[in-house]
Amino acid sequence: MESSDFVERVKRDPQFQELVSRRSRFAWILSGTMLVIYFGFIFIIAFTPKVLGTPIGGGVTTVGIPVGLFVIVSAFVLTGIYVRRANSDFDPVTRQIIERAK
Amino acid sequence: MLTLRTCSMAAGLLALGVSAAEAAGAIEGGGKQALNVPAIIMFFIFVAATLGITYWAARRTRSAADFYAAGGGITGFQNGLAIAGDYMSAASFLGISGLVFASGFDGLIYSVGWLVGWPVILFLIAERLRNLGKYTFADVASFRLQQTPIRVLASVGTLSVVAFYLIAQMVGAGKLIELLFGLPYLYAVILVGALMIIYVGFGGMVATTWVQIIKAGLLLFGATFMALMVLATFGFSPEAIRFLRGLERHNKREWFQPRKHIYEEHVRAPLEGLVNAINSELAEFAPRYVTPAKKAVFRIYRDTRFSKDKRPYKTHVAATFFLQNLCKAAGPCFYFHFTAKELLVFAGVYMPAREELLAIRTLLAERHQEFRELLRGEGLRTAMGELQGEQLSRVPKGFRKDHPAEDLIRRRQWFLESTLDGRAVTSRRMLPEIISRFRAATPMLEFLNQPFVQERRPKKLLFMAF
Repeated sequence: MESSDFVERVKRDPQFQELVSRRSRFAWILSGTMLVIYFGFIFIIAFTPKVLGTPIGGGVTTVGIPVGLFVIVSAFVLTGIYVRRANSDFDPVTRQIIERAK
Repeated sequence: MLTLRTCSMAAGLLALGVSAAEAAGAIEGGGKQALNVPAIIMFFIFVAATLGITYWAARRTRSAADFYAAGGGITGFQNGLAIAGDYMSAASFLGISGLVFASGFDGLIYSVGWLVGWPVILFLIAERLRNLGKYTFADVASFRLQQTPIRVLASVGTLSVVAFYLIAQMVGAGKLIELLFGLPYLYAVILVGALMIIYVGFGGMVATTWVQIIKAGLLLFGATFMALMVLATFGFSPEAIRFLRGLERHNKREWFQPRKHIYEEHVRAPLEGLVNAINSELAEFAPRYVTPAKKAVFRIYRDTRFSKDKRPYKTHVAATFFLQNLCKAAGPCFYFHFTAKELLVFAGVYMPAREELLAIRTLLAERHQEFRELLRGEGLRTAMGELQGEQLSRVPKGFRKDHPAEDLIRRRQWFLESTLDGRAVTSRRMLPEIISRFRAATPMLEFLNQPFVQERRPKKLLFMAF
């Protein structure tokens, strides 16, 4: 593939270093959010299941159902946020860096 | 990825086969069943279509990139569908349907856990994998490490995980084929295994992905269709129970009237559907009791004219199935009702008119041994329990005091009933629970109805003599 020269040039590029740190911070924030939401849900189930078992408005639907749906929807939303950012920010910058290093 | 997708393909075949077979009612117990033609036809269509795709894909596959990554020619949406196909069949295979069936929406926890893993993989690993340009897990892991030991380790790990997954799937698929075709289990397993090897060995990622896309479409369509049909036919919505519970608390016109549409939509309409479903079963084992839904379903309005209790509505919903050509709800009949708390299944006589009372007593005086025999039947006892009903303290006029059937003759009601937990009402169990009890009670009911059937015969003869 590319020569080691090319790899070195990319590595030294300040924009590349900045991209890497920016991207990994972003990825960790999103992962953290996802994990907090998920484990929050699981811990509520584990320690206070009654909370989720409370019926809404005297009916048969419990609080757990909208909360569970929220966890599912949040996974989609976070993925959407990531894809947007990757397409509009990370990928163009990556291309620029590669162009410059050639 | 490829291995994962492959084994989930076996699950796909399995899930597809299972839903088709279930739709036709083939899977009930173990052992061989009668040939299930629609399910077999669907199975062959699916296998033929997927083999066709494999052939097409094999002709296009030229390089390693083609084989492992479909030459990069799969769009995001297509790949998404394929992964969804993976997911749905793996979920149904790993038992989420069973979990939701057994414990209701608590099964949701399981599906949430799976879903949440994907975004995390996307955020942390996906892009790095893409940038490396490698195909398999072993390729990636050995990129910076020593090739041989890492590849050995990766192979051992992958194969042992896949083996366990695959064994369970092959057993399932083998059982399914055995059921559908009556093929011996061993051949069934070999057949499925051969199919899987052909799919992946020749078709690579292109074929696997397309098979998954088709499967996702079929599963999405099939599951949605079945869910809607089930909701439309039977299984009362939680709204029905909620409505009945509310009615128990506020048995007033002012409460009912604005909620009448809930009654019509969530109680009355599905109840008629259920009655029709029961009728189609009755047609098989007690055809004379098939009762049109309009006649079978009781009104929710109470008759308060002669009653001290002036509450205007019943808090139970009921339907009865009686010997046709008799007037309603008088003679021995099948009956069920449910409230917010329970489901009651009944067979027998509850409020016989005077002549009926006499006819039944006369019948029992003559043939009590036969009747007792019927009641003692093991199936009936476990399904419906002991004979119930009010008893007079003395033997009625016209019968001997020391009659061997005096205990039966003293009764003024003869019925069996069985009460189930209210949860049965909103579950799929409702229909089979009712049917199995009706079926068990049929001989007893037929026995009690004999005088009323025979009564009609002379009339008919007279008419014919004219």
